[in-house]
Amino acid sequence: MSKTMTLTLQIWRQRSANTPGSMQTYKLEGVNEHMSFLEMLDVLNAKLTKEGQDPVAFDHDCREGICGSCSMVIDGRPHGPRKGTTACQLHMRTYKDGDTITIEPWRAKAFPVIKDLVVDRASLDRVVAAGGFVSVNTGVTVDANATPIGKKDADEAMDYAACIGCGACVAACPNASAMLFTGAKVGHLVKLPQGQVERRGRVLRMVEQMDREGFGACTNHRECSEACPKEISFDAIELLNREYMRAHVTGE
Amino acid sequence: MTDAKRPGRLSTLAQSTIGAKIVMAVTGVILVGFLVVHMLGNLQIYLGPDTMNHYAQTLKGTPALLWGVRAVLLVSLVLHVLAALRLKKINNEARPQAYAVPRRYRVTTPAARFMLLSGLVVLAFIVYHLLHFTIGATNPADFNLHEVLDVATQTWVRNDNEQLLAKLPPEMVRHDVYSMFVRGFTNPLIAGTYLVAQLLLAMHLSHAVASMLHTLGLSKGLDARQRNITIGRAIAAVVVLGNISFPIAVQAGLVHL
Ligand code: HEM
Ligand code: SF4
Ligand code: FES
Repeated sequence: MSKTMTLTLQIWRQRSANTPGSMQTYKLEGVNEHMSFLEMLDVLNAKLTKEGQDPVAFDHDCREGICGSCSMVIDGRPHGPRKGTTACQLHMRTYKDGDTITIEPWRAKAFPVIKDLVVDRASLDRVVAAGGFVSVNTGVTVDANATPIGKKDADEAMDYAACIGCGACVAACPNASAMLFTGAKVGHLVKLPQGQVERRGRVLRMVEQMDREGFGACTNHRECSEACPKEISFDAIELLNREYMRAHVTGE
Repeated sequence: MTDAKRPGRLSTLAQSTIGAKIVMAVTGVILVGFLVVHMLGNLQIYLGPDTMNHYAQTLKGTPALLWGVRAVLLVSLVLHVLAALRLKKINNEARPQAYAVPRRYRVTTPAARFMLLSGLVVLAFIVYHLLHFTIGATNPADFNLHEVLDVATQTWVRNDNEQLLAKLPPEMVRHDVYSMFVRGFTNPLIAGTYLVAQLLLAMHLSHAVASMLHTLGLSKGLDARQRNITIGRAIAAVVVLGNISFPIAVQAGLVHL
């Protein structure tokens, strides 16, 4: 038989972007230890709806740790206490009966709150749109092994490509910097032959966009890579620094 | 958009956050390098008055080099502080609304979080230190000490007779830095001030050196990063232990007039 628990939840409630929010306290009984964190919030919302209250708005989509939607800071940590784990993959067995859990949205100028725990992360999309792609003519399917790539490069590119754009790195950073995210996107493409043609312009444009979005500057606290649910290495930031310097040194 | 569309000019470097970080790191290398040399040079206090005063005399004997180094240090310090203030402003604005529940950090250190504070204390200390030992404005009685070359014995002898000093050729007079140093640190308040300032410098450097290596992209991989963090702390410890040994040695009577 699975255990159930009673929890005290303190959740950030905010009606809209322009209204001030505050932490509200809720008591939730009968939380099953096998529930995911988001299922626990579903149970709370069902209860709130039944009581005629506004349910807690939170972002979610895949619920399997791959889409990056489930942005929430749980007990002062983006995605909660478990390393390498998104909020949707966090299970209530991590907690025990009687626990108090605080939940609030990502806090950054570049991530304005839309409602409750939902923030607008389009700033990250604009950083990618500024250069996080390769320009190729599509239509013809290229043979999968037409372009040989060394094992080491392929592995590193895959590690950087694991970034799901969740923004936890920004949320975790004392400076709300998006260097880990941007570094992962730059790193992913710079490790591949396809990424070489636009290598220089890419990093310059992406960093320019990153700054324009109002993200902070990295001061090497290394909190981002510790909070990242995909465990993107801090190497991404050093790579971004190197690529950025290289782009200036190799100016045409 | 074509690739050539964004020219990577110096102006874009100067405006970007990464550019400001690079300015901090490069000026930081220069300042740390100076700190190491400065501390090693001052270790000569343990070799006695003649060695110390000869060292000071040699430095002052090459004014072009002395002023060249001073200019580089001043420019570095000014750029370092300006970049620090600019980044601090950007970083404060990047999170207009603070977390309702304090963030629980995993790896960062108080040293890393209070860099501006430790930096500003160090800046205040640098100003005081220059007034104290370089310009002699705060304690002129301990500063205006000289030695005169006794031609017969070829030794340097303390002499504070202003009229005599003014008449002698410059190569026969030198600043008695050793006595200035000892008299300066005999005052427990001054010794204490230096000690406290050095502890804040230790705090600054314990994050700064590794941070600089990361900013320059020189710590690839977890092991290299951990190693650079250790190296950074070791450099901070060596510089500051060397520096604080001076007021302590004087207070303990190990170095005396
Ligand atoms: C002896 C003088 C100083 C030395 C040797 C020194 C050294 C350094 C170094 C090496 C860094 C690392 C740069 C990087 O992360 O890339 C740094 C960062 C920093 N310094 Fe200094 N610094 C000195 C004085 C100051 C002063 C006077 C201030 C006052 C505003 C200051 C404020 C800062 C700040 C805010 C940072 C950035 C913090 C960070 O990146 O985490 N420093 N310093
Ligand atoms: S680097 Fe990690 S924390 Fe940052 S957006 Fe990507 S997956 Fe999320
Ligand atoms: S809901 Fe997709 S990663 Fe959590």
